[in-house]
Amino acid sequence: MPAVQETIEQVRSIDVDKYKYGFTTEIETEKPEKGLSEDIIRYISARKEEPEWMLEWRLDAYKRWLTMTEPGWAKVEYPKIDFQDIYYYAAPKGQDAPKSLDEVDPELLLTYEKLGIPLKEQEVLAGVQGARVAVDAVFDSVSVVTTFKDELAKHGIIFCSISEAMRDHPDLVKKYLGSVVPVTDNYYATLNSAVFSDGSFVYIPKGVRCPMELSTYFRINEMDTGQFERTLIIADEGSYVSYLEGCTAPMRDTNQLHAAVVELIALDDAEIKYSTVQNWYPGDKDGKGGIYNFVTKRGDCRGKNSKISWTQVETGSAITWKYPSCILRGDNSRGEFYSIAISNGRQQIDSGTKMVHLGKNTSSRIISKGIAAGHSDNTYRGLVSAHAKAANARNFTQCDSLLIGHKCGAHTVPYIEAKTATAVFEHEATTSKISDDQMFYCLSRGLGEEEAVALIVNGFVRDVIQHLPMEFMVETQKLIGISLEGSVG
Amino acid sequence: MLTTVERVQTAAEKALSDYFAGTDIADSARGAEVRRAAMVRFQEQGLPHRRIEEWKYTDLRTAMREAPALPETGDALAAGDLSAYAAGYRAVFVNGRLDTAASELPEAAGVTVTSLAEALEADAGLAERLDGAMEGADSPVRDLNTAFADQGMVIAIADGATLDRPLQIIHRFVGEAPASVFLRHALRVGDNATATVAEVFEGPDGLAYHVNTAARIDVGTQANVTYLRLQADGTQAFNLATLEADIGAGAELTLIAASFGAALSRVQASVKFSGEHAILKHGGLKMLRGKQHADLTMFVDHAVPNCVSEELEKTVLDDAARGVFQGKIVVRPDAQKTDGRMMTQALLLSEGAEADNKPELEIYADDVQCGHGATSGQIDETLLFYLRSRGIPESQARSLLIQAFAGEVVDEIEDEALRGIVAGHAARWLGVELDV
Repeated sequence: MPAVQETIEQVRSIDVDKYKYGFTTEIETEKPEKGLSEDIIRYISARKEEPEWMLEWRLDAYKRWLTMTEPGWAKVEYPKIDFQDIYYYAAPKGQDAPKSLDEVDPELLLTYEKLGIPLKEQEVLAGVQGARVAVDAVFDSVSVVTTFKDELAKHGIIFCSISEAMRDHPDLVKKYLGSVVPVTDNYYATLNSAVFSDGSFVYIPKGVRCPMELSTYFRINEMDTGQFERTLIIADEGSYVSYLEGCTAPMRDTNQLHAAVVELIALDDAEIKYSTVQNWYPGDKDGKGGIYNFVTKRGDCRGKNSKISWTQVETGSAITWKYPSCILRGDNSRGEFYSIAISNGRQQIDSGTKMVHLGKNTSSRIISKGIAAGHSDNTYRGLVSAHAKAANARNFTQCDSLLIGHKCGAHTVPYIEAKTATAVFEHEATTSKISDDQMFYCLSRGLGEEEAVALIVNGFVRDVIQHLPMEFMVETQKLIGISLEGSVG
Repeated sequence: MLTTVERVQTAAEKALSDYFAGTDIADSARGAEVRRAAMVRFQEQGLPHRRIEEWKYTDLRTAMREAPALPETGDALAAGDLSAYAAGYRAVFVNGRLDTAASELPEAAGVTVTSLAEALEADAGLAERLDGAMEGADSPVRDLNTAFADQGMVIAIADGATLDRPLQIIHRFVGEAPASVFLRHALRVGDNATATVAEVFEGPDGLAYHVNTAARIDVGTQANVTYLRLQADGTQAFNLATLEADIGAGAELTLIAASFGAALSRVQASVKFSGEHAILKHGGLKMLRGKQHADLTMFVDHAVPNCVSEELEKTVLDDAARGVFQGKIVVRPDAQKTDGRMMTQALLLSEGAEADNKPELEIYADDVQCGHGATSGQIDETLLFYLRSRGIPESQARSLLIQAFAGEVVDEIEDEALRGIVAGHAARWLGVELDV
């Protein structure tokens, strides 16, 4: 398996600095004052030239947020966040609405080049021949460029930043925004509803199979800013789309907040495949700095025979708090969740999924692989529920945890609620360590300790990796090697 | 903006406070201070409700509309027929009071069985041991027990001694007036000692009486203990229990909880390994129908290395019954070579039934083997088809399959007489004749 070889090489090539996306871009930024108030919300809304109803929506969310309290049930610990000490909006100067790539600040283009994200349409992702990916690049609070727009438009596909969508397709936004994650869903979703800046909007018309992968690349650059992006994907009847999401941030000593909301809607016979490689800055080895990743992601299988599949690779962030979920409303709809969560250093991950079976003959599948190393804590928290009318609901869940070292923790907290006799639920969970036999075998074949660990771990997560799009597979295998760097010996 | 809402006492909470104010605890043997403190804690927290994570599926505040009064202190009521329990020793509590005439207590060497009041007088350290809650056992329900319970059995088995026959603590509710009964038991089994103790709960259908028991089990080094809890209360009863067990090195504890009765029941069990190479075997069985609700919440604390815990929970639900299982295995940082396995299975026989399962793992040691499984579903159609193709009528085939499902737990009971009693309840639940 050449990819395994690559992991090994990657591990070998890295000496000290294992987070290679930690650089900062020197660029002039416009940002209003720190802190959260109605004025800031009005400012954001005005900057984005939003319609009046949108501003009302935000202000309503803000008022509701003021009455809410921070949730404390997740198995993560962090000092209290001062919501008045955050910049809620930061935009590279003069980059509000570049018409073409030529107008984009070359410094920004260089940033994405360094990150390996192709913004020129003739380029392709490094290492993958012939694959074309349309990219929406979000830098701090704004979308700087969206590629392949014209070609996608030929198919009737709308792929643009959500700010643009609000101006150009207000009916669609108005109809679907907040319909999966309501404004008051939870503390961070409500905060996001009030101050969200940019994100991607995708609409796939009836019967269209999206001809290329769509992707968004999120980059936090400014210090003390929060990124609050909002993504809305609608797959109309009989359509298909595969969407990728990537993210990185510079290395800083202070924690930064990232509170996103992602809403997916699949109508009759539609399918959405959503893949994430989350590689926010995880903080240094002592747990200083890093991103707080408090994200609400939910897909609604609204139509019959619809399907939503989440695949996530979580390697970054100081704290992850994220549960990509599926509401299986349509009859015969299907939800899938494939996850690899790797924590090292002082990272804390509390992640999982919710599969809510509402329609008849709905099915879901959860495969979660958690790997904890260093001093980290890695929790799988999931809900599978079947309501009384969800006849013949089926679920299969498998969550495996692997512990590397004895200073870390791996936890499994599943909630399984069956309210109908015809629902068949199966749940399995195991926790183990890399066995001495496996290590001995690898070492006896001449592999070094870290190579052996990377090899075994890659085997452990294979069930999930094979569900990733080609573009991410290679990257992920490398990432696994990097994330576990320094975890043995 | 945080608005603090003044908590409004529910009718049941108020009634319990009033009963406590009316009890004369000044001359009681147990520390009045401890009891008052427990009542204050209860008054602060109130009855647990669904916003409290451990009580998510059992909302006691909503379910417990009223709390019946404490039992009358008049003439003792007759226990009634006890022939089913003839095989073992008996400590019989009628409406919360020990019926000495109906009881047959063991008198063998090394076995001491005394009432709670006597034991507290004899052993100054006992009160402290009983009052401090183990992790995973603390709750307002336990606080209520601490505040009210002044009756119970204290059983001590000396080092190397053997209890030759099982001791059955029979809680029977009789009469027509409902009451709230609180009992506290303690079982201390010495090193290399052996004992089987069973708690049995019975009462009339249709009477809304409440039982709240707490038991503390200490298992000595290399000891072997079986603790059975058979709850067959009346259909309107409330049965709330706290079980705490501490297992010494090399010891083995078999903990079986079978629930057939009560409108609402909950067992909150906490088991801690305090010595290496010990074994915990837990078997849980719930067979419910109507609108019955039964909850088993378990906390297994692997505090030391090299211990094994196995939990098997079986739930059979008919009509609109609801079965809850919450199990948590914690493996502490030093508890290497832990072997922890938890399995929970629910069989739903009717559209309206609900099974809620929450098996949890919290692991801090790397060299362990831990796993849990959870399934829920209806009777396997292929198995049913197989039996029917062999000429067995459908209803009989169904009951055979349910018996086999429940049997996995029943078979864990080693004592033949006790196993027969539990199997009898299962058979009666299914409406079949049992030929043993």
